[in-house]
Amino acid sequence: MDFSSHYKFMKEAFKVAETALAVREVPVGCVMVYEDQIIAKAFNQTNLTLNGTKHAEFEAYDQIRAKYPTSYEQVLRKTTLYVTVEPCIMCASLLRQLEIQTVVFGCPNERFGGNGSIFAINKDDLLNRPYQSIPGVLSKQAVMLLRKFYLLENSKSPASIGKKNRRLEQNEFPPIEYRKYLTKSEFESLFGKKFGFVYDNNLFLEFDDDGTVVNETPSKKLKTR
Amino acid sequence: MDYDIDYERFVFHGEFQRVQPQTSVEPLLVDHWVVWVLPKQSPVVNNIIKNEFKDTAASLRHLKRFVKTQSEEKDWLRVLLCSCELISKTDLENILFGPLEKNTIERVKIPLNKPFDKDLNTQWSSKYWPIVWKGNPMIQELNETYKRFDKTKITNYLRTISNMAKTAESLPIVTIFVDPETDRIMASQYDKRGPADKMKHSIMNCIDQIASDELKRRKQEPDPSKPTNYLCLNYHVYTTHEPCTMCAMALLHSRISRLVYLNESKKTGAIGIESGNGHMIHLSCSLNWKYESFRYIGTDVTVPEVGENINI
Repeated sequence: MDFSSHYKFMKEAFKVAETALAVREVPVGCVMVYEDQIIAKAFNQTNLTLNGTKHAEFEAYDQIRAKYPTSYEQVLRKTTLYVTVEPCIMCASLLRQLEIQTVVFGCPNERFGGNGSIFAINKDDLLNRPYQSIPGVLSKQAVMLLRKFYLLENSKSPASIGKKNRRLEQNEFPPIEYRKYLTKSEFESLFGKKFGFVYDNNLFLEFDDDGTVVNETPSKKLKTR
Repeated sequence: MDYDIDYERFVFHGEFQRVQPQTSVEPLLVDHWVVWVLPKQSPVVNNIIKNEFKDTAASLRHLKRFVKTQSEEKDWLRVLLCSCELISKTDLENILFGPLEKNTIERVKIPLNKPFDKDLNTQWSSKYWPIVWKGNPMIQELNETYKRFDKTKITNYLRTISNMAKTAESLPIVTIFVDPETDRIMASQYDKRGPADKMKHSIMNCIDQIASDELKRRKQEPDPSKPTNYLCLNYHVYTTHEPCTMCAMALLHSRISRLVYLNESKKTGAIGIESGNGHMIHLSCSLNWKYESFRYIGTDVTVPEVGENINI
């Protein structure tokens, strides 16, 4: 698949994630794409349901079962998940047991990540088919959305009243260690050999409006300065 | 109180094995500087340690600082100072010799980890450097856990799930969630996977049940006190077969405090040291939350095996 469509679908996942903010849920959103069509859109619903396992991926899975009651297993094997935050270990195992085709995610999940951050459940030695997980598509935006949520929630809590409000941090982001999620050759076959330096230097992928990767090589940058 | 604990295999009452990594038995050796002084100079060297090497206090807490020895019919003290990586011998000499008379400095291998039993403590002490024995932290943890471990109650709950499993209509997999404060069973579920949903594992079904029960309750009688959303906080979970990664992690998200299971799942399990890919999920994100896990290794309570490739 052309990478610009990955970018396009990730943008859709962000729209879903933003709606979570309105109902005071942790803003993680996802879309599931089958034959180039979005077949499920979901956000995290752990607070609404009082159920700590109702992550966006589980909601999307329920939608797909409802839509394809007899063929959901075959459908999922040809489906790509776009999710704003790396799936946690639990969801990574769900997706693995469902034999999803590919996962594309925004920012790493540093506490619970199951596609490489803590464990790479997608690559475990198991009977079910492994899947490739592509990190870092709109990573900064995913972190910003989470920060926005925590700032909003903290300002509503009684404990913070009277305290100096913290500002939204917009410049500092933890770098992505690509080697946790992909080998360099996997990365280069996805993004092109010329972007190997993004992998080597743990840089953030930058896209133009059409979803083309536009990172400039370090040497070029020096010349234009 | 007599503790029926096998400290080497972490087994309680001969029937319940606590699933945890084996404690290391190898010393972690690092070169340290040791200086020889006469006993009357000990206040001087103590001052030097306080002023120059106070950062080493934490990492060397388990070791003796001063060790008596004899040479040429004189009493001496060998004094442990600091890691050789911290300072060169020349710099060390500049600090020491002035306040102290010039004397021998040796390089000694020191174990930075604590041995886990008293025999090993004696061994390492004579081989490397004297270690202060204050009891094994792991033994203390096991003892504390043991005191909270009610064998009779636990065995009864295991019998409950065993009996349920034996009358199962399909897969003989059963889980119950127990609130240890009230001793009430809060959820009780079979594995319900089928063509409509292949992921209805018994643990997920229990978590779903507890959430929907509480959601109904809160709709009927709204509670203004804003109770916690961690509905399974500190619950005990009893299950017939070692859970898969998804279910093991769902228990962690739900913040349970203890899991007890009957049969191990060598291929698909995510708790046992050698199960599946060896993740030991219950301890894997321990900065955030962890729960203790026990495998039943007794013979009284049984449950049918299921296929080794089935994710439980």
